[in-house]
This record gives sequence, structure tokens and C-alpha cells, in this order.
Amino acid sequence: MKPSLYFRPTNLQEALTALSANSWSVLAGGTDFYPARLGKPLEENVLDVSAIDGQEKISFNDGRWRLSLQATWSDLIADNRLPARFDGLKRAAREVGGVQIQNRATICGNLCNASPAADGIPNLLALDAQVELMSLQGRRTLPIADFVKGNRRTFRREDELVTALLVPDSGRPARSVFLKLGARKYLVISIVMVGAVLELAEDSRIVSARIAVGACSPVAQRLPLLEEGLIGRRLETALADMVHERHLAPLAPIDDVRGTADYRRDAVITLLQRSLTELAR
Amino acid sequence: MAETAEGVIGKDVARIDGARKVTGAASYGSDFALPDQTYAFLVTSTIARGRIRHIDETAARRVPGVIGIYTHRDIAGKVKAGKLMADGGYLGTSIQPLTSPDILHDGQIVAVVIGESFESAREGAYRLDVAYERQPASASFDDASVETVAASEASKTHEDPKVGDAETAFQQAALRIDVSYSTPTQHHNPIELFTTLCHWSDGKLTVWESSQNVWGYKYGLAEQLGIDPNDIRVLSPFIGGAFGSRGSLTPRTAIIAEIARQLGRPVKLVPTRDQGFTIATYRAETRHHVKLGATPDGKLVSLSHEAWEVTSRPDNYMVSGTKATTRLYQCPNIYSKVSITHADRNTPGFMRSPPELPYLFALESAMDELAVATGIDPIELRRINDTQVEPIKGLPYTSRSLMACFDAGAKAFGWHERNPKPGAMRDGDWLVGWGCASTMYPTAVAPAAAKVRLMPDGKAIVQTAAHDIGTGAYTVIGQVAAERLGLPLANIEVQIGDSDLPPAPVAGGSNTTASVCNVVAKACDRLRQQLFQQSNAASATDISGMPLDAVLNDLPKDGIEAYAENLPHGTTQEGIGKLYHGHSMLAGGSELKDRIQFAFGAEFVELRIHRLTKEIRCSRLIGAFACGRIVNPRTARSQLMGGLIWGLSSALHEETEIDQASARYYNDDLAEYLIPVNADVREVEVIFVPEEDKAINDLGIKGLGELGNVGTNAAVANAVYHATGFRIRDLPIRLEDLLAVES
Repeated sequence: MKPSLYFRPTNLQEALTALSANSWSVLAGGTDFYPARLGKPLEENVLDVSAIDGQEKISFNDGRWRLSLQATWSDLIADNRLPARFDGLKRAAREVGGVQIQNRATICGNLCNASPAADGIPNLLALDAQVELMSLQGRRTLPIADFVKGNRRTFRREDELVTALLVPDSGRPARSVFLKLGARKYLVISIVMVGAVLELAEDSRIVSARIAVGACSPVAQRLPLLEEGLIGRRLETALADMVHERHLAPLAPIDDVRGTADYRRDAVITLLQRSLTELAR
Repeated sequence: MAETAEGVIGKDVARIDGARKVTGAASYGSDFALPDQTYAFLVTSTIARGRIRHIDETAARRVPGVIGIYTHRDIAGKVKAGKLMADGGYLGTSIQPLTSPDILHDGQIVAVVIGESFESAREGAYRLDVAYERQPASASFDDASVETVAASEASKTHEDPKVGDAETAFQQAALRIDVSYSTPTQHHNPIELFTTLCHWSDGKLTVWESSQNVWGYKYGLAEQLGIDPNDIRVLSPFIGGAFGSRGSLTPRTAIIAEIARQLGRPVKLVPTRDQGFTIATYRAETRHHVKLGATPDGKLVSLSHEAWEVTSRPDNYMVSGTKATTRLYQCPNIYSKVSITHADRNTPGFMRSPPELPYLFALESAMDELAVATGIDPIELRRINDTQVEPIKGLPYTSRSLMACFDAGAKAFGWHERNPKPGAMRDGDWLVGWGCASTMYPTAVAPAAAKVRLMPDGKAIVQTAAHDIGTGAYTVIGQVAAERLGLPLANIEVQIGDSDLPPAPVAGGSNTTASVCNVVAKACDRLRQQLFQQSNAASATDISGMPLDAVLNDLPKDGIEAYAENLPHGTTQEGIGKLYHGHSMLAGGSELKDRIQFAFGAEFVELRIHRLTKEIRCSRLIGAFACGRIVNPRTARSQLMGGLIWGLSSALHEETEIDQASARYYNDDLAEYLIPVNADVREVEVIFVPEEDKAINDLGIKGLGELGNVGTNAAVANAVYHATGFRIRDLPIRLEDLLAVES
């Protein structure tokens, strides 16, 4: 039996030094970490980043919002400074487990856990968020789409720590939405999710569109064909009729205990239509 | 029996234990802790059938704080297997883990690791290396290696109710319904886990465990451990949910007691949620074949109900709900047959409305199919076939208000506005479905004993080893005592949940209120009689309305006491002997020689099914119930409301999924074993239909704890049909079952 280490650094430098010296599982809120290890002895080193100080949880600088590694879903929900483009992510936040989970679970942790059904990822894609990674070697950023590698796998190097999510804010009027379908109304793992952010010109024409679907592929996917089709159009409920099966090409839904692939394909169209209808209202 | 003027029975009073519960002062099974206690963590099998080949304790023993590892090598010969409750024993299974290396089901206990802390025990358990010799396991009905036998062959006492010639009548019937249904495996999942704390002192064992049957546990443990029952005390003052899962003793209790004996220290076990799926009981999956023959005007001429239930390899556990379904409607020709299928599973057990829930789902769905076939309104179809005499033996119901329930429910629901055509009622993108079904539950009453002590300060203590499984037993017992003694409710202290108190039956079969309230009333009446006789304050013949104030001053310092036993209708003196040996002699339902006693109700469901996504949402649930005298409308409403919600959950969500290849459960947690959340439950209304039943027992009480969740299942399925035209005959009904519904 090899003894496993538990380390709870109080500053970033200590954390990065530890990461460079050893192999660690990083623990933030612990809400995904704990249930995944039930029934098994802990045979890994655990780096608990919940005590690292000196980071403002949510801040705005140089046209970018920064959600630090300690920002929880509850922090996000409570932050009244965040503009409308975050409304969808806030709605997703309210669906991440119950309130006790939202109080513990971090946004960065949800991303790093990289579940295909992670509630946060579709809207982070739709927000065009970047992932900030730090190591003793320095700092780099990756778009979300280039960060999540597959089911529960990311491109984070062993010596790196995800320190923040960076969300660009053009200042343009934007609307966003999050819709989720589950077998019951709340506290349920998603069958299908849609996250969308639309930026609008003054005449209500769509300047940019980002629409992502979760739980229908190993990694949540944006739907570029649909997005392109929306650009230049005026935002109105009739846009819902545009949604077509060919827009779903990036998706690869599977049959599982929560729903069949056929059902998911069918349901995602309905959810996309509902999303566009809601955005236009 | 005359009543005092107080009128506390039937009053809508708040729970007398409510403040203790919300302030945390009430101690549940898991709350008890002792100095010097050790912690147990279970290791359970990862195969469903085979043998333990080898156990390597090396790594587990190295974990700091681990002080003991107990396997079949330590427990075999020290703990005996027990008999099933149905076979005259106290246990929910005859499979006793750790008595041999054999594995008979998934998640069977294979070792217990003891630590100085919960964490060390858990770490030790995680590191225990158990190697198995795995044999192919049969999960359920469809596996080739299961063994199916007729219940009448498996059990000498089993009867398949029948009358007339159902098959010929069916063949000759103008209208025929011939359909099959199924219900899934379900687990109780009470919020309180299956905790046990055992402590030995001077050769006497004390067990703290949430239990619906403290006297049964005491006698069952004595048998398993080979000790005198008088050396055992079982304490269960507050229970964090039970639903039948704590009615019979499970094998863990004797194991923990034996380890505590060997270790010489208290041992506390708090198993995990997933372990709860395999170390206790469950509701087994069932299959049904129902045939109804009727005249064009809806009169039943033939009713046939054949059913199959899953059980374990060794035990003949069965629920046999045909006892109810063959007696719900008037019909001259009835056939029924129950079979059990032995698979490599743990033994199933009681779960809220064990027979009625699955069996009435089948019959009440079939009745709806008959309503569609005849074009008769579902409520009118039931009225046409209503009866006051059960059809098998021709016995009278003590009372039966089924149609009064339908009428009250229909009025509240607005049933007359229903367009019977499937899919005809819509609300935007939502298809609206209205369904209804009958509900019924047998009224059983058991022998019980109680003691009442009245103190000179006007306070009284009521003692009986009954159980409050969250239903309000403390309160209704207190109400009866207050009324019978003529004291304010605040003066009554109720003590229950302790096997040192006078014996009371298992809190099962919805019998507690009827059994215990009647005996408490008897003890109170006896006490008043003694009191007034002693004091000469009044003639002993007319004391019912006498206030106590006049005689309290004459009481000795430690008060006076009265003890009573009650033998309800249909029980014999033998029942008292059994009561003092931890057995409950429930009498009632369809088991009596001279009459039949059931509570009835009608349940109405409104569903909305989205025409595109097929999401199923329940917007309204209404139940109208007639269950004799209601001792406390507040706690009664709460129970029936909980039952309606449970029924909704059972119809739309709950299913323990089993891997057919390995015979193991795979959704054994509350994230994947779905129950509704608050947002899934909108409007729920409980209507009490007044019913006076003087025959059923002195106080006129029928049980209602299980009545609520029975009819809901079919009512939901019938509403799904009404909304979509799709008849779903397998529970639970999920959105993927409705994909073919045209949008």
C-alpha cells in the first residue's frame, strides 16, 4: 500500500510547486471528486486548492470577466454585476445539484471534471470562454473547445492548475439562455442541454451567435451551421423554424439509461427551437 | 365504550413530538452514540452467486485505527440464520451472511471491518481483498436458469381465490380484455440509513436501531444469538422513514451484536446508501396477465388475474395481491393464480402496500381498458360493478364507500368536463390526460398491550411498544388517552419504541392506529374505573363523563396504573401468547371467516405530456378516501398525501435497474434511482369521505397509511392513455415510452 498525500496549499506558488514535483488529483469543491471514489481506497495524492487565497472570485478587467478557480455556482448566481450574456450560465448554475452542491461546487471544477453531461459547459462554450492554466513554466490560455479532450479528459498538463475562466465581453447587447431536459424537473442528470449566447446590433440583428449542445456527444459541441445561419437575421420567434436536423452534424448521441440516441436527437431539435423562441421574447 | 366529553379524537392537532423533531431533540437510530464505541463498515459482495475463495486481510489490517475484521471465519457457528416472518420467524430473509463462504445475491455482506473511527473502518473495508469463485447468476424472470413454481405448491397456506368458471365465461363474453402488465423492482430508500448500534453490559444486549417491530427484533435476535430474550432490549424512539424496510429483522443486526460481544465494546454501523439496496429488503418485480369478460353494458362476467413475483433462491416470499383484486368488483366467475420465480437475488420484503400496489395497477389499468372498449365512463363502469358483498365467499364488507369516494373525488376534480376521446384535451403544446382508479387496502387489527399511569398532578404516561414511523403514532395515541382519561393532551406523555414496554404489533399492514389506540382506550377506561371505585366519588357504572380533579388528590404519590390487552375481532387467545413472543397476529382484510374489511378510495390524476419532447408532468392529484374514523385529520392527510406522491413516483420514476448478465443493481443511489422532487409535484388534494364503521373495532378506525399509493399507479397510466391514446402497461412510464406519440 503506497501512502497517499493530502496537501492544502494557501498560496498559488505552493500549489504550482507541488504540481511540478508530484502527481496530484486536484480537488476544489469535491462534489464530483467524492462520489467518484466511493467504495475504493484513496490511492492518489490530493491537492486541495480550496484554501488558496489572494484571488478575487469574480472580477472584470480589460473587457474580460475572470471567474477564478474558487468561484462557486452560488457566487455566480449572486453576482449582480454580470451582464445578460451570463444569464444562461446562471440558469445552468441553478441546475447544478441542489443549493448545498451549488455552494461547494466550483465552475472550474465542473469544467475540469469534463463530464459529457456537465451543466456548465454548453454556456461556457457559448460565452466563448478561455481557460487560464498556470504552472511553474508560466501561463497559457486555451479556448474551452480545445481544453476538453473527451469524456472526463482534458488537455491540462499534470503540472498545470486551471486558475480561471476568462469570458470576453464586447459590451454589445446580448441575450443568453440555458435549457435542460431531464426525467424529472430538478436535481437530475441531463438528457439534453442547450446553451446559447446571441450578440445583437441596435436594430436587433444578430451580430454573433454561439449555440452549444451538451449530453449528446462525449464533449459538448457548438453547432456552427446553425450559428452561421442566424447571423444577420433579425431576432424574432420565427427563427425557431430554422432549426433543422442537418444542424446536428457535430453531435453523436448515445443510448443510455437516461434516454435513447433517437430520443436525444429528437429532443435536441425541440430544445433548440425553444431556446430561440425564448431568446426572441 | 362511552367517551368523555373532551372530544380530542378527530381533532386536527399538531404532532406532540413536532417540536422535538424540528429542534433536533428527537434522537433517531443514527443519532445514538456511546462512550468507547467502535465503528463498523461493511464489505459487500461484488458477485451475485458463487463462493468466497480467499480473503486477504493484510492491507486492511495495516490501516491505522483498524481493530478488527470479521468474516465467515469469525461469525459462522456464532450467529444462526432465522426464519422468514411469513414462516413464523422474525427475519426478512433466511440468507444469513457470514455463516458460510457462499454468496447468494449481489451485495451480500462478506466482511465487517471495525475501526476506532468511521474513516479508519471505511479505509480498512476499501482495502480488504476478497477473491470470489463466480458462478453464473440469474437476475430475473427472463433468465433461463430461474425456477418458477406455483405459490400453492410453494406454500401450504397459500390460497388462489376463485369462484365459478372464469375461462368459459370469458370465452362467451361479449367484450374481452386480455392484457399483460409488469411492475419493476423498487427500493424503500428511507432517508435514515440502515444503522445499528449494539452494546453489551453484564451479559445483556441493548440495540439501538430504527425498527417497526421492537418486540419481534428482540425475539428474533435471541434466537439468532442463542440467548434469553429477556436479556435483550431494542430501542427505536424515532424512525427516519421505514415503509416496511424495518418491519422484519435484517441479518446485519445479529452480526453487529455478535461482533460487539466478541470485541467487548459497543459497535456502531452506518451502512452507505448503496449498501442499503442489498442488505435490506425491496419490492420485487411482478408480471400480470389479466383477462376481463363483460357484457356490452359493462357488467363483469369473468375476471382472471394470473401473476408472477420474483424472490430469492431459498425463500418463498410472496405478496399475492389477488386476495384484493378478486374482491374489488362483483363478478360471478373469478380465477386467480400466483407463481413465484426463484432468482439469484436477496429475498424481497414488505414495501408500502406490498400486494396492492402492483396488483391493483394491473386490475385498475385493465378496468380502464374495459371502459374504453365499452365506451362507458370509467367511474360509471366501477359503479356498475360495485358490491357490498365480496364475490369469492359471499362475505359482507363491514363498510365500503368506494362509489362515495368516486363521487366526491369526481366533483372536486371536475371530471364531468372530461372529453373521453384520447388526445382531445390540450393546453398549448401540452396534451392533457385525466385518469382515475380505485384504491383499496385491508384493515387489519392485531392483539396489543398497553399500560397507563396517572399521577396526582394530573399527568399521565402511556406505555406501549408501538412505533411511530413518521406517521403520527405518538400524537394519535396521546389523543385517545387524553379523551378517554378526560385530560388535556398536554398532560399525556406517550412512550413507545422500546421492547421493555408492553408489547405492540409490528408497524405494518397499516394496523398501528387501530390496534394500539383500541388497547390504549381500554387501559384508560380501566384506569378510570379503578380510580372511581377506589375513591367512591361516583358509582362505578357511570364514570365516563366524570372529571378527574375530584379524585386526583386521593392518589398515592406514584399514581395508579392500569394494564390492558386487546384481542380484536378474528383473533384468538393464542394471539396474546404470540404477542408476548414478538409475533403479530394481524386479523382482517379478506382473512376473516364472517366478514371482510377494507378501506377504499378513488384517485384522480391530471397529466400534461408535451407533444414534442413527451415530458410527462403531473399537474393535479386528488384522492378521496373513506377509512372509518379519522383520529387526527392533520396526520392522516399527511400520510395520504405522501401516499399519492409515492404513487406518482412509482408510476413515473422509480425503478431499480438490474444488469441482466451479472444480476447486480446499477442505479443504487438517489441520483439515478429517481423519485420526484418538489417541482414535480404540483397540486395534491386529500378528501375525507365520512364513514362510520361500528363493526370494525371499538373506535371504528381503519388503517390508512398504505391506502394512498395504491390506485395512483393505474390512475397515472390511465391518464397517459387519455392524453395520448397510448396504453403503457409496464411501470415506470418514462418519456421514451411515448416517442411514437404523434406530435
